[in-house]
Amino acid sequence: MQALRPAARGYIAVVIAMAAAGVVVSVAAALGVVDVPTGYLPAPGQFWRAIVVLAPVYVLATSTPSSMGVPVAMMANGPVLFAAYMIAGPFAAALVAASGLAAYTTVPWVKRGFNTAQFTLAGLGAGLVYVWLDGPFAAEFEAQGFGTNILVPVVASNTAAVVLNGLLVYGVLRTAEGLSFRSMWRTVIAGSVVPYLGYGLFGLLMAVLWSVGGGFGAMLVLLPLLIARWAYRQYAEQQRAYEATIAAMVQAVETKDHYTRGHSERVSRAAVMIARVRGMTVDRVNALRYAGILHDVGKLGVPTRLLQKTGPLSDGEYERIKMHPVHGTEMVRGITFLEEAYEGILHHHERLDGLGYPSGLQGMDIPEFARVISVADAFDSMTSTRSYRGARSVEQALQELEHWKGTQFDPVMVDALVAALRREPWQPGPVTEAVDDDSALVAASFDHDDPGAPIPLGSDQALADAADEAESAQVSALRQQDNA
Amino acid sequence: MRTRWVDTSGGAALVIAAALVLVVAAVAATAVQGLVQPSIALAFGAFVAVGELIRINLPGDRVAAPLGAAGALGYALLEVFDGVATQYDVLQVVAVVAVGMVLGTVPHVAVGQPPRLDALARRVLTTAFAAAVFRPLYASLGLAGVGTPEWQVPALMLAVVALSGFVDALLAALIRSSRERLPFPAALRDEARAFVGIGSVIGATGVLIALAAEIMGYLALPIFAIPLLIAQFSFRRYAAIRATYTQTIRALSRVTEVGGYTETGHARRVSQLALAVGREMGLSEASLIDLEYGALMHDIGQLSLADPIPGGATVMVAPDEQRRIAGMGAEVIRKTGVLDRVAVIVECQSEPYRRPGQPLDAGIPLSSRIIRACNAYDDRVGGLTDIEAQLAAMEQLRLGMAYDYDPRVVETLSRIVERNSRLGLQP
Repeated sequence: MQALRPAARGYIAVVIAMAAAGVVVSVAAALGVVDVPTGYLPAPGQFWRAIVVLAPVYVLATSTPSSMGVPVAMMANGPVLFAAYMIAGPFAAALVAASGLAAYTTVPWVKRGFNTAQFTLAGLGAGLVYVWLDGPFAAEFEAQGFGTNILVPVVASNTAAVVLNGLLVYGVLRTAEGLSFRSMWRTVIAGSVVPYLGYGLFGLLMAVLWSVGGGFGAMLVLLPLLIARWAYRQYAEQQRAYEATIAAMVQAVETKDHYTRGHSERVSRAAVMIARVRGMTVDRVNALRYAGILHDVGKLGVPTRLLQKTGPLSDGEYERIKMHPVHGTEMVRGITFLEEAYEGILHHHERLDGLGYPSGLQGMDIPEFARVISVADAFDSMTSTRSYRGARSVEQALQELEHWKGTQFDPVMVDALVAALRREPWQPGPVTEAVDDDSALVAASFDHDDPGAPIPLGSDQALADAADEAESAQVSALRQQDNA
Repeated sequence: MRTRWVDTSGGAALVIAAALVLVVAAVAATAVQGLVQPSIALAFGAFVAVGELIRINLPGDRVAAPLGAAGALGYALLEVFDGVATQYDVLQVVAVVAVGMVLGTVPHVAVGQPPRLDALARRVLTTAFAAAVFRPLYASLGLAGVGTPEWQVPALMLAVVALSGFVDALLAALIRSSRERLPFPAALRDEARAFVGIGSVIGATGVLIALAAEIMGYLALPIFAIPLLIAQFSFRRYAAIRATYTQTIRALSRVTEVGGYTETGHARRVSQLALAVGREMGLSEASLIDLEYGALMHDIGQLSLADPIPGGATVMVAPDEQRRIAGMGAEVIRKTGVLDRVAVIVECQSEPYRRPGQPLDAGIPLSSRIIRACNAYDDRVGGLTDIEAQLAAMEQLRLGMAYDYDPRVVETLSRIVERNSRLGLQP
């Protein structure tokens, strides 16, 4: 707000001045200083009674900030504003909205002043529309009966409020940021229709209750709303706690396998990118996100000694490393919303040609989640620094993926990743690694996720063939040691 | 604090039987005298049925049908409908609501879900209570007369609803304390706490429907369902993420088993035993959650060990090593940033409850003392059901009561072990 353009400042000043004028006129009308036609003011005594009840509630409702991702539709001050003109006419709505200036918030003064003015004018305008369409005051609801006589003015005044509010906000965005009318329509107006419908509905309910149960009854309408908001907050809090817990646990896994720090999180990110390109539903994308984070959790079941081992592995040792998807699945079984993710975790090292592990599935027998994670996994492995090679560039990694397309990876998923990377850039893992004593020990261990990794034996025929005589001899010597 | 619990075994059966008697009587009476104002009865009955159909599960194995319960309350409190005074009596309220609830439950049973009769019975009794208190009071106070201050009716309704909420919590506590062998006051406190949030939405909506129907007629039902449904949605999402959270902690607690650091099922057994002890000692529901998480993750520090302890039994290693493992576990848990209480519990599990020459160490949470004893027990017994091993393990705990194990925890644990072996249960 500091660097507001002069045009925006001027605009805001005009809006505030108009609202102030509206407030002055409203007070004058209510006090009888100026004459207003009948129908703009309720029965004597009703006006100030409504203000006395509604204004404090409005101030309170405005004071509770809608932070923590609580949807705007759950704001409680909107309904009070709409109820105000149904109970006591447009001037009452203007005064109630103006009282919002006294709310306790951390919002800066310029913004607060503008928002108050904006709601004052919207409330006044909507109230005028309501009166022009012969909308009855709450006190007359009982006598008139409930029907279109009330509903039509409510909907019309509601629409007026949406439009008025949209135009006022558009003015600010236009003068401050040069926003086009088109994008304004998409963001500001479209986004406010549903919440405003909600405000209108709750406002109407408050007015109805006002007519049967007085101010006390009207306040009851806000209770379900406030509690829904409270429950939503608890939900949001719990959701955050959940994510933090998973992240911390995965971090515990990664400290075991030094050089994969951040790997799980990045695999998850790449998997989600692929899933979005493939047009998966929100629920599946979400499950895949967690499957990506948890895909290597089974490494905890592999002895640390093996994960950090330098030099070649014996067949027996390699078999144990190959068990990690099975261990991982064993662990996460029981988290019901991850059901489809189990298969993704279990089979993320399968290969299209059937040479992968643990089951040696072929082609499309490999579950979709596993085919996604497999590509994401290899991609992140290649773009990260490894002890036996530096990090490859994104282009090199994609070339490598292309190379293994059809034999190891599902071409569809590789293409999806390529498409996704064209849309948003990739942030690879840290390129330079601080080599402390621990990681020096790890220096020569291989990455089982890296399709071009030098050491794996047994499963990868091509690489096993490439292994030279000396290495084979070394392996059999190791094997004998193992058996001893 | 001696643990006493009111013996209320069969609490659920009692509540269900009472509701059944009432419903049979009500339906019979209504059938004999005929349905008064049948279209209103039909509308509310259908509303209750729909509400029952979209019931939700809340944390702590609670089932709630907010919409159904609110509709039932609305019908119980309804005095004027679309400008006309209602003439039905309390028994008709019970009959209409019960029939609606049963109809709404049929589809659940048809797809193989439990009918949850105890929850249904509670809702019927609560509604009956509200109607039986409110309707005579409304008539005798002359609230229908002209000139009554308008706040009086809503105020009376709110008071009745609050009272029936308390009745509901009483019934729920009665059922829970007998089913889960909880001390009754602890169960009542938990139920009351669990009820406040969702219960006030239900109560407020019931009152709102009853009041607004005076003007809006049938429209009041669908319109006031909207705010309630928004609230119900929030509660359901909250319950779902809570369940997922617990499942995830359980899953992650298995890492030490998969890693070969601890024996299969150790964490699960310790957590079940610890929960049983905690319940019987009257811990609140919130503390029980922390206790469960702490028990599940009590060995997580072992992951940082280079070599697994043989058999994973921390009870066999030196106190300093125990303390180091507990500290590392707490460190891992603390990294989540949201489980600080659990981290403290895990950290303190390696500490004796008192030291030589000193009184009870107030710094050691009860949960840590519980986990310490349960872990020591399971480290010695494992999944064995043989009586000898159990007795030997309990004997070791008793010998350690001077410093290591809190005598009250050991007493409770021994009661539970005895009871379980009598029932042939594990652990």
